Amino acid sequence: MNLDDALVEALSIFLVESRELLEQMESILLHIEQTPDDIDTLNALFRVAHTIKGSAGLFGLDHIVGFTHVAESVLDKVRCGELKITADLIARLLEVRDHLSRLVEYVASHQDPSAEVHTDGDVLVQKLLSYLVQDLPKEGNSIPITQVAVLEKDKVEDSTTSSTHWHISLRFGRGVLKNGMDPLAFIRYLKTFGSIARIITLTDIVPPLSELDPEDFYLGFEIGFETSADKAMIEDAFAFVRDDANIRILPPHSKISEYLSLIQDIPGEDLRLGDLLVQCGTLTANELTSALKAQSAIRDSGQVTPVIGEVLLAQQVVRPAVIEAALEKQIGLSLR
Amino acid sequence: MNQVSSSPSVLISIDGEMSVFTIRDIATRLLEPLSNGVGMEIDLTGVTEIDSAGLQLMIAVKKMASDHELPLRFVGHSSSVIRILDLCDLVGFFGDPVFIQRGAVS
Repeated sequence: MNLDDALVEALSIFLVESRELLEQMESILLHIEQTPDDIDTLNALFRVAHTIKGSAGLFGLDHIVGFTHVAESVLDKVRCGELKITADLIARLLEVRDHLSRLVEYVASHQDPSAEVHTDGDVLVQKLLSYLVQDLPKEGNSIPITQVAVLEKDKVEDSTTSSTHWHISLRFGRGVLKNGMDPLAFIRYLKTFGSIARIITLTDIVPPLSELDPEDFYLGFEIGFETSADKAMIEDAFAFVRDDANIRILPPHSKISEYLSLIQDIPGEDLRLGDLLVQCGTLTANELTSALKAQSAIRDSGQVTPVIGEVLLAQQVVRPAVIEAALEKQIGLSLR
Repeated sequence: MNQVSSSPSVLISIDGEMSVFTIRDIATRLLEPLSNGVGMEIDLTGVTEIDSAGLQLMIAVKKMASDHELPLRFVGHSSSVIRILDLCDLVGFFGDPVFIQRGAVS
């Protein structure tokens, strides 16, 4: 089978799978009012979006990934109990289903969606975002950055985050591979008793090939992990490698100060601030996305591009003290 | 591993295991074209197994190629390669088109 055939076949699997999932989504939505708190139903709904996003990503269908990502984030809030099922939300989610179905059929007919369809999608995304970023101030209501940053610093200790997942930060010894262990095996093992909500693989300190010792280990991982297991069970997953690794595990709803110390502890990898914040569970990917949008809107308007941290602050998406810690880190890195 | 020349870059296919046990040889072979200023298209169709050493090598190759502004593409990702990229969420890092095959996505 040549590559074209393989692609056509894989694509047809994607189409069949997506149509089935969207049918399932419709039938769930039509009955959900009777059992709005049933966790299996809510998980099934989330899984529809999650699976379509994942498969679309493998085909490079970025417009489907982008749209579905927003829907998925809303459904994630629903299944975590942060958003209640209302008639309004159900109507919105049915629109999501219809729009996704339209996008999938465009793929089936090998056409790009019309401008009209794109516009419909954008409108729907805006509506969905309102479920995610309700506390965002209206446009133009920006705040001088430095003042806020100082202002709230002392309040940090008491505040907990909305994050509902465990955060696992993994750094391994250089010689872990030579010692016969593959760190990825531990991550696969985690998946046997929970699910990985997010994983960020840190590739910064992998040297270019000419300087690489291919048997040394350079990768780091930041993982958002959902599980009903306790801390001891997660720690035990790393029992064999504990002496050869730096492992930090933060429970759900950790205090901001604990995420802060995590940011400060991370050995000097050249990380982008936005990623750091997402890794720390401080920000959802969505909050970051809308901040990035605001950043590029400012860039388009010809003003000097603010760093992402300032944009997030101006939108009051993250707590200023967290930003400050991350900025300190960036400055520290650039001084080296 | 076969090399088929086609300027300005060469096509290299990696077959079999791409793990810590085989990684030194593979690294040496991939280093040669890059050191001579030649880009590569690396065919991963025949990769039966890949571990984190293999993944790291892909990253290091990509970094060296971009440092030297040489063309580099990974193509024909086998299902084990797709699985590891998916596990580590690195499909976007490489930016190469990846095609799912039957059984590759669970």
